Amino acid sequence: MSVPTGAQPFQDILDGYFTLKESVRQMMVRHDLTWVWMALWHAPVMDIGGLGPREPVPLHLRDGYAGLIDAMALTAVRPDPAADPVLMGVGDWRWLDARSNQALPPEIRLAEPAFFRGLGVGFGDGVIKRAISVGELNDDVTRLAEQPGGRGYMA
Amino acid sequence: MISQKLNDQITRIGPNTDAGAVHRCYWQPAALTDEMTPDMKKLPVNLLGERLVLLRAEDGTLSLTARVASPDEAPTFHPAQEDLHPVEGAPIYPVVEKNGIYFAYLGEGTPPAFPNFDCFRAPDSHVFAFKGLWECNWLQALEIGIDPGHASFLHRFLQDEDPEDSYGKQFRDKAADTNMPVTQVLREYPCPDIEVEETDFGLKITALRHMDGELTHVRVTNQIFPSAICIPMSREMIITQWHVPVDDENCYWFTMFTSFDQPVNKQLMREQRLKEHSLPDYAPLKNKSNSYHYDPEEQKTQTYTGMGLDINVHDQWAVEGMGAIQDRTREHLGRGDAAIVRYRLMLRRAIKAVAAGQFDRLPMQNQEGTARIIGPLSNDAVTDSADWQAASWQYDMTRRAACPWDASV
Repeated sequence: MSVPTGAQPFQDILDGYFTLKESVRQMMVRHDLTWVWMALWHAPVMDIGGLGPREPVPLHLRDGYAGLIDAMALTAVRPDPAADPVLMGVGDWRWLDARSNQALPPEIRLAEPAFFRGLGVGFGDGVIKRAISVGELNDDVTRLAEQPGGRGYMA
Repeated sequence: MISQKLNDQITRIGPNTDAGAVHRCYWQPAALTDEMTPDMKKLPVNLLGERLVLLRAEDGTLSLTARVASPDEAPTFHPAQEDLHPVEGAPIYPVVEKNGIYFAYLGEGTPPAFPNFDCFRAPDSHVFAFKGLWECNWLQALEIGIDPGHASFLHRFLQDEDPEDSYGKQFRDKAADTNMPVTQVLREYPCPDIEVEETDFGLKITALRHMDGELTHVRVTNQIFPSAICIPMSREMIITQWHVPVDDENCYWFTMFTSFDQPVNKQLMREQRLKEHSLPDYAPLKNKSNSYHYDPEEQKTQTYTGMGLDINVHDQWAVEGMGAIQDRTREHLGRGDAAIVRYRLMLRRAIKAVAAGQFDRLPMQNQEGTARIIGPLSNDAVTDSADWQAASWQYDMTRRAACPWDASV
């Protein structure tokens, strides 16, 4: 695959338990990124009703909905280092409980940390930590292309 | 903090379960060869939630099949020879012997090839095998083994033994070519940087402990998919250890100790371990019923746990203390749990591949490719170089070059 100019292949782990948007923001801060594309796989998620985006998760996942992101190509952009990112994703997920709305809510939380590989563009010219070779992304790209359809996610 | 359904999916291993289907794609340690003396034709084996019997035919051929068993039989019940009756018409599973362990394949189709790991290619004289029972689910038993941070706390020794007395014991040897015992390194540098890399067989896990004097302790361990680890034990030996499900709530660790130097002293190593286990079920003498022989005085002066010097007991207490199946609806992993996160990703990916019939996407399912897998590298090294990868590699190459059997990679 070819890499967009200025983008660097890298890998990292997104923290769990925060909203996905907050976990991505923290990761972008760690790497000083303005733009990132990530491939997420087999990531457990949870949606706890009534829990505000800045509230801590309970100690015990008893109530709420649980699901699994089977695959997602997720892009995040933030115009300046102080801004929250905007997330746009396409992927496949499933809820494990009866749930009428099958959409992935903007305030979805990862139920455990999630490893990913992706591409990042930094605000500066620095080398992104945890860099990988372009070849290590090939498998993710190939397998994403095999995914059926996919639904949209924004946050 | 995953849901109960997701926890069930990655922990339960009986027939017709997701994780069970993944395990059935791999050879599983079924019994020690020491358990089946030459006069025996049958041996009870409880594996992957199935009640089985290992059979030795007149020509010496081994096989495994279902045996007649009561549904309320204890998980490690060990019937007498005369009470072992194969179930007529039950599937016959293939069995092979590898350096002290009988491996069985409980899956369908052609069994996969064995990787050419050091524990399999070393001569019998350089490998010693043993096993022990842990009363908990296999996954929590495995996950402690792929957490490089735990050794600095759970296995903390407040005093160091003389490394000259280290034979057959984990962490008691000197760290690489220094005069510092590994126990001291673990104690004084408890927060390693952890690097995890996916490999053909599973994961390579590197823990970096940055020491005084610009030295770095590099400890390389491995996860071998689906349920094994390969870790250094001393400068001379490595450990390859499977966490084999008996059922959902019990597992056996099967360990192959492989020497790169002298032949292993099997008698001494077996005697050391038989002092800690009862036969025929290899149940540990220190266990929940006797509080693992917890001694508060020892905890003040000698060890973090107060449960003796055998690190296996520390691990046993930690994983059994989580309950029969760890309640992961209460779990909060962090980025420091990198190897556990990567392992669960591999397991979920394998579960999906098996469900889709894409067996070639599982690690070590390619016959030719799997047979070519050698190693894995597993060692403790101390280096003053920024290029710790090269230093770690060189340390292993030096050991392998001097090895009396072909340990080249």
